[in-house]
Amino acid sequence: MTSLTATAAPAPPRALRSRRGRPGWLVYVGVVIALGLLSPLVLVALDARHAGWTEIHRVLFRARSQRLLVNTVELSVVVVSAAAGIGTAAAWCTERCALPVRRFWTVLLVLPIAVPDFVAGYAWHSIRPTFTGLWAAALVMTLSTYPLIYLPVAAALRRADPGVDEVARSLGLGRAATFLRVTVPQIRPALIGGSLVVVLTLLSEYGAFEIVHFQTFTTEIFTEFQFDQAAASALCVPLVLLGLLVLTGESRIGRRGRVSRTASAAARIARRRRLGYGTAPVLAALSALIALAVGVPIGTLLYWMHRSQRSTLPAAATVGKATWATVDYSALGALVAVVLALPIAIMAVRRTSIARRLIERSTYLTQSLPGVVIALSLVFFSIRYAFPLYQTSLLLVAAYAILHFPLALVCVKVSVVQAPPRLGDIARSLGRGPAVVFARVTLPLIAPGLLAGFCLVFLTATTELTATLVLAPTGVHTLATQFWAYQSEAAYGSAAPYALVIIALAAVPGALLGLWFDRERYSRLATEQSSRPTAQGPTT
Amino acid sequence: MSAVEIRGVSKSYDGTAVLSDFTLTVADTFITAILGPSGSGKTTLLRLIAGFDRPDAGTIVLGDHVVDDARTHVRPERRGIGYVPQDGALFPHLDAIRNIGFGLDRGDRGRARNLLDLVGLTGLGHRYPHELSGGQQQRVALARALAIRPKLVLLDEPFSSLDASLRVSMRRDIARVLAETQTPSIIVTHDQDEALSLANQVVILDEGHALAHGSPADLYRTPISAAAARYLGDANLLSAVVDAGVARCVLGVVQVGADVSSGPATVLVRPEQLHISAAPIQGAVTATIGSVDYYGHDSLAELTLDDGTVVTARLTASAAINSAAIGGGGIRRGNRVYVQAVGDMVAWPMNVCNS
Repeated sequence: MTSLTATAAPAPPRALRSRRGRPGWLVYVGVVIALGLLSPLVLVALDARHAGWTEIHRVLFRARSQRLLVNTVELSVVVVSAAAGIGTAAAWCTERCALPVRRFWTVLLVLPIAVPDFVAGYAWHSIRPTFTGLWAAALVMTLSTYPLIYLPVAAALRRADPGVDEVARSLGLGRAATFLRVTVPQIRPALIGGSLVVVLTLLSEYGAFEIVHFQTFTTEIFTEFQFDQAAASALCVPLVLLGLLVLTGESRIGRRGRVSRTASAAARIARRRRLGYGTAPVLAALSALIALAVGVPIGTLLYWMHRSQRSTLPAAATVGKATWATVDYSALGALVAVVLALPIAIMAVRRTSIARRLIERSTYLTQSLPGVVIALSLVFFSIRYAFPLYQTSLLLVAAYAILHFPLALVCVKVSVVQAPPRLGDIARSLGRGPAVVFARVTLPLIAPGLLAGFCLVFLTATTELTATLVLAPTGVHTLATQFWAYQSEAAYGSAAPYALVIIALAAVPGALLGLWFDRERYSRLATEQSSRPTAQGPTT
Repeated sequence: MSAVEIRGVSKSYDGTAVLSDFTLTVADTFITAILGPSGSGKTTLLRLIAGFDRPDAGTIVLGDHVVDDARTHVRPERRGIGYVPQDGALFPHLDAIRNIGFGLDRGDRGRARNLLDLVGLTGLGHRYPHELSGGQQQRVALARALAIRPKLVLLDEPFSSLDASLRVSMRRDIARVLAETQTPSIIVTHDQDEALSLANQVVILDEGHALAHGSPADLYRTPISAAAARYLGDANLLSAVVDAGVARCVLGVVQVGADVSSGPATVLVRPEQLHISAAPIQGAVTATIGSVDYYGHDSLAELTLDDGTVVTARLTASAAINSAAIGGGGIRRGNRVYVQAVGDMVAWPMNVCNS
């Protein structure tokens, strides 16, 4: 029957989706939010213009800029290849192989995102001061960014129909050929999406590169910012352009290779293969990965704390104060980001139109803006137009929300898909008003996604350094700024406790995220329900 | 009183008209089936009746309340209409009993439990939707719709996602539950058997308008047009010339009602009205057997008449055996047989313009 309706569906699916349309006012809310998020871009442009064309020309076309560009590209190529390889292999291990204590590994493999890049850089560098340059930067960044690929690829592998692989095997393809010709195309969008996030992370990284003496546009902007603001603004231009280039590239490639599941009737989870004698080497490799990515930083921090005299360690009270400030700002920023992401997600998921697509995509642009650019634009904005806001915590919270909005949006969007409007329709027909329906149907279904979005932004904000350094009001110390201050003076022992608290703070939401991405309970049912009519066309 | 009255309703999505100037009255009988192919506007019709969407123009009356017209739009939660979509659409975060009780007051848990028993799922109340089979999900969805004591239940292809064997038993169960709860209902389907076996009234929908409606038997025996005849059951439609109660066609002379006016006409011969025999019969024509679809209880044989026209004949199991006994060769591809149309046929005078 399913196949019958599928073949005999002449009307375009567009008509079907729009029938579940929701009021157009969401579009206006979306426009306002998108404009707010994009204002830093405008401000950067204004600021660069303020600096003048001659200045931009001078800064951009000196030999140094060329060096920075080459550095950035080289690093991107190395890190993306390595992270994609490691992330995909790890995802394959946890999704398609019967590992002992699988859940435990899925959480451990995500944990490196709780280790700030600058802490990892510091740890490696403090082991060997000669640990500098491209390969040093590449090692640190690969170990800290592979979860960004592991998570989406693991999710894609879990969604992928194992039946397709079996059919390929029955058609005479070997295991490797099946993986390359059937599995890889299915996980390709996830792989591309993850790689994009990795590149954007590389573009905006400051702390780790500063420590291992690797120069990119971001480190250069930061240096210039302390002497010559106009030059800093001018340097933002190529950085923003690079970000936009990556983003448009992704939407070009990402659009091809559509993955959809046909016949939802027999949705199965792939049987995880027993490894037998292969178990030990696989576990050893995963352990080594986690030891390098998490063990080395934490071990080094503990070593430095242990080595230090009691007197040089910071007082517990100052650490406590910094912790509180960090939690406070990060949580507020995460809350604002999630609240803003909800209307955009509903708008984009529930109905498609060019306007809605444009608004949604434009909010991803902020992801291409490195933290330092957003921070500078907010400084610029407050100094010129809203001086009372300058040096207030409000700006820092705004920066966190803007900077990490795309992360919140990704999670919220996934969860909005879990709550298809038709469930709302049913609830209405059972005599419940819109408010009750939202509270009893929509909210419970999207809550895990909202929580995941909150965790992700919170975690990223906690480990954020650049924007915090620029925007933290005088006298306010966060864990990151304190760590940075001590580490800059080579006071490794004093810096260590701050870094350890950051990791501890970020580990909890990190683990939660690992579990959220690994969830299987009823999410499958809901996504099927929402995707089924679209796959079949209108079955009137 | 009619359960639903739809007058001049139009609805389009993104500029594509799905229903235009649609008019239909559904009587207050237990089960009305709306039969139509994919894309004929069936789901849209249900969504409009349920109040999920608002018609662009026209009036919808439920019982004796106008729920939709140019000024009125009664919200879905005020209509008291139960809705059972194709795949059940259970709330994935609630177990079966809480799905059923969703529209009930907190104090009314007993009713949810009774409904669970009524749909035959006693003891499965604590299961979550993903722990239920497709058929069980449908039963919960029906119980959930019935919980609010609706004035009308709408079922949108409720059996299409079930496999064939399950479908028949589900059909029976749902008919029983609807009868026991005395709930008028509208079932949308593209399955003829479903419409014929389940409904007291069938409406045939085609490209946004109602082609015919009536009891299943009337629609099958005396369809009002050739198009309607083709929608319900297998039909041999042959051109003929009618004169004084008989029609001449490729099957020879067949009986039609005396009230059919003389002249060119289209005559409907149902497959079971064709008798075939290996031995010559008075007034029969000869034909060659083509493909035979064997169903156990009967078979459908494709016959090529001598002038090349292909007709379909239904053979009961015993007829097939008899003919095999008589003619020796039986019903086999390539055999020559004699064909005769038995009983009164339906015929429609042929208009010159649509012939």
